[in-house]
Amino acid sequence: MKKYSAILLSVTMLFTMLLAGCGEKDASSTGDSPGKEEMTQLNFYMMNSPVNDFDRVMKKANEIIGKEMNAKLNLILVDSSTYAEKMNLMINSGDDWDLSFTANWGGINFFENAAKGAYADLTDLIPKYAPQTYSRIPVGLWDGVKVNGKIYALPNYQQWGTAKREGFKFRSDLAEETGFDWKALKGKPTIEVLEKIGPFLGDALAKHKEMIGFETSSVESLYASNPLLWNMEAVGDTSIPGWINLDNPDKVINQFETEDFAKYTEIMRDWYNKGYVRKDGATVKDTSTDRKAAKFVAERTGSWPDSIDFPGNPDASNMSMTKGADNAPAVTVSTTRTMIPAGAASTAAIAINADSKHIDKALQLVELLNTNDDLYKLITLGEEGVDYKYDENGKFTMIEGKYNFNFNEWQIGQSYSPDFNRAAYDKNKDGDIQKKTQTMVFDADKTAEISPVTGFVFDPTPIKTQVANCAAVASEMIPALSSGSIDPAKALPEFLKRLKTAGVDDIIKEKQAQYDAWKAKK
Amino acid sequence: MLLRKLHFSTLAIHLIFIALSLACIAPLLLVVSISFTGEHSLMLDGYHFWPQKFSTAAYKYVFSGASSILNAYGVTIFVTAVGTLLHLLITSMLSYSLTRPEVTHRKALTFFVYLPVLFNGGLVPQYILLTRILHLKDTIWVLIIVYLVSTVNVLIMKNFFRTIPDSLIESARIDGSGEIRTFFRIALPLSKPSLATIGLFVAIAYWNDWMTASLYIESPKLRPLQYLLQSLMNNIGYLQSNAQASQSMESAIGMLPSEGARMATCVLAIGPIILLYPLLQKYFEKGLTIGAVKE
Repeated sequence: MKKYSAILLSVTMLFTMLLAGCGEKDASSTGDSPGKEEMTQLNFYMMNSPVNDFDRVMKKANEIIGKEMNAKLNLILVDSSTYAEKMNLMINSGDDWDLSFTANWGGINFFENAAKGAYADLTDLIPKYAPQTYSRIPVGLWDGVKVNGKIYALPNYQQWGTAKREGFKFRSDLAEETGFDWKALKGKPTIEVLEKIGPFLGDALAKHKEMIGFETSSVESLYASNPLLWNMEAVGDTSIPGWINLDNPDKVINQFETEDFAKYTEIMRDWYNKGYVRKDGATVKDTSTDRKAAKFVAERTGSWPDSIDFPGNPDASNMSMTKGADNAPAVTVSTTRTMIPAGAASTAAIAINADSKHIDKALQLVELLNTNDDLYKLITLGEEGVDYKYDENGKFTMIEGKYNFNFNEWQIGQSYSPDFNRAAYDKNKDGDIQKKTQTMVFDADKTAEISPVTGFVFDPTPIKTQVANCAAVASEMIPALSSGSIDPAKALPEFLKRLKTAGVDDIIKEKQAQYDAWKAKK
Repeated sequence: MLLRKLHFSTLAIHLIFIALSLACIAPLLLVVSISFTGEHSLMLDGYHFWPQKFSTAAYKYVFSGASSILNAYGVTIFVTAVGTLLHLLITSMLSYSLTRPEVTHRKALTFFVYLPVLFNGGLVPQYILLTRILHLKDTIWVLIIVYLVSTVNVLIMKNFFRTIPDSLIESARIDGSGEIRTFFRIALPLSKPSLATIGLFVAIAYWNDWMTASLYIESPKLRPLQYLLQSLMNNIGYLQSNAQASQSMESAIGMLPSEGARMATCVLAIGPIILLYPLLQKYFEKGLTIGAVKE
């Protein structure tokens, strides 16, 4: 009798193993097919949502890749919510992959993985296998993907350039109505700009009561999320205290102890009391509804050249998310210097697995994606006439329900091209203007100053607790201070005191020490 | 007097429960209504229990890759059905064996089952096991096998099997029934309530699981429903947060039914599985007290 029960138990276990066996067969049978033609299969992992008609387009793409370099691209789309976790799992478990999208954000940990040796060292290989990619990217960007002097990834240089210049956007109809001289704000320090915007918001809102003066939300703080606007740059992660002033780039400071921050919170409080900003700005996360309804009088913008340098720039001619509605004409003015931020290169790049058997082939594939415009356009836009078309006015239009890469083209290569042949430009005046805008941006990229922090990687391990504590304090207080919902006269000293207790000074000291050591080595 | 008092209290209890039920049903109805409302109307009029401006744009958006949604339904239904059956079979067999006094080293085996609750291997070893040793990556079985045995369910079933009198099993044995026959003919039919309860929990877990798919599934045709819906919502979020990045993107986003689509995916996600509840309800009362009393 005992035996039977034992058999029952072993049957259970046997069954489990049997099932596992089934899976094994499945896996090997799918692995067989590409082997036939002795073609190299390259697995490329990227973030993307499901794409319609993916197989059709990939088949076409592989005809080109097969012909050009006898390889097959297996592009694997992973949902963005788990991409970082999945890639880190694959790296840590030694799973098989050849290429992957990498970045310095969202937990993908480019620098950490590069330092760990997960990514292949490409320093000597790039000029050999990807010469055009190498020459097209501004030299400064290559420094941004170096760890200990070696290149571990290929930055995806995009059509909209990398240099950053911040500014503000205003409803042009309201500016005209109230006689607001927005052009005078050009190049002014942000505090001065805000002081001038205030009266304009008051005038505009007096006439249009249903509108909102300035955009505030719990996710983005005009101060804490935008160092360049305040002539500063973050050392390491933007959200952790410890920035440098660009006019004094050797000294790490607590960005919340500055006079600017104090003034900024006072202005926001004033605007809050006067009703220029949302009353729930400290808690609201998603402001897209307000944007779509064209409710904002003014907002921050990162888009440039502005309406002074290049009147008619289509990116600057309407408030954000109102393109279709056409009821919110806008003008922009940029107020900051032009700088390539430290993280620019590693914001979007492609890395190759150090354990890949085909590092050279993988690199060739990147070069092919970056130089074969037809291939790149096929993967990122689909087939002309089937998935997209140019309407009678020459406007680029996507055909509904067809192939749609969800605008993730920036993950698999450069949309930059010297002859503007790699992105969806309208075949009319709008397209020409866009090309002209981008020419200005590319020219600026070549001459823009490069952030003094470029190439520096902050290692937070020695002060992990302090970082966590300060982050907690900041995420509690920053949204409230930035949206004006608490009085800075009382809240600001309290905030600074709590940061001190949380160990902000240790962070600044540690950042300074690492930064100094890095500079000495450079 | 007494009668009237009784009457009043019944009425009060009924009212309380009617209010409770409404509190449960109303949000669901609202979700359905929002999913059928035009995005523009949502922005201007807010939420209503009856669509102010009827529109199926949200469903059109979700079904714009219709083949993949239907395929995903197929995958999810297969995984849920096969997974639940296998889970019940294995769990009941395992826990039945663990209660039989004939099995030697029962205690040690039970502890072996219990051990993962105390010490979990973590994600990396699990990933290595599934992909490199069992080679289950990108197969439909990975969606099933990961949840085949759950310690908690084994313990619940074990406690239930203990309530079956030993004498019953013994008499079956005396009548010449073999161990397997006894299990399927005597033990299992007696444990229907616990099977129904665990079955429902497991079915819902399988139905709602998208994490496993996002880690182990790579080919589009094996993606389950929840993964697809989740990904769809992420995509809308992504497009909106990057609206400024490019022009063509911005015009595309103007048309996205974000709020409506969110609710439409919700309706699609709860769809079929909600039908399981009424079917299994009669077993519930008994099922939920399983393991509450120990002999």
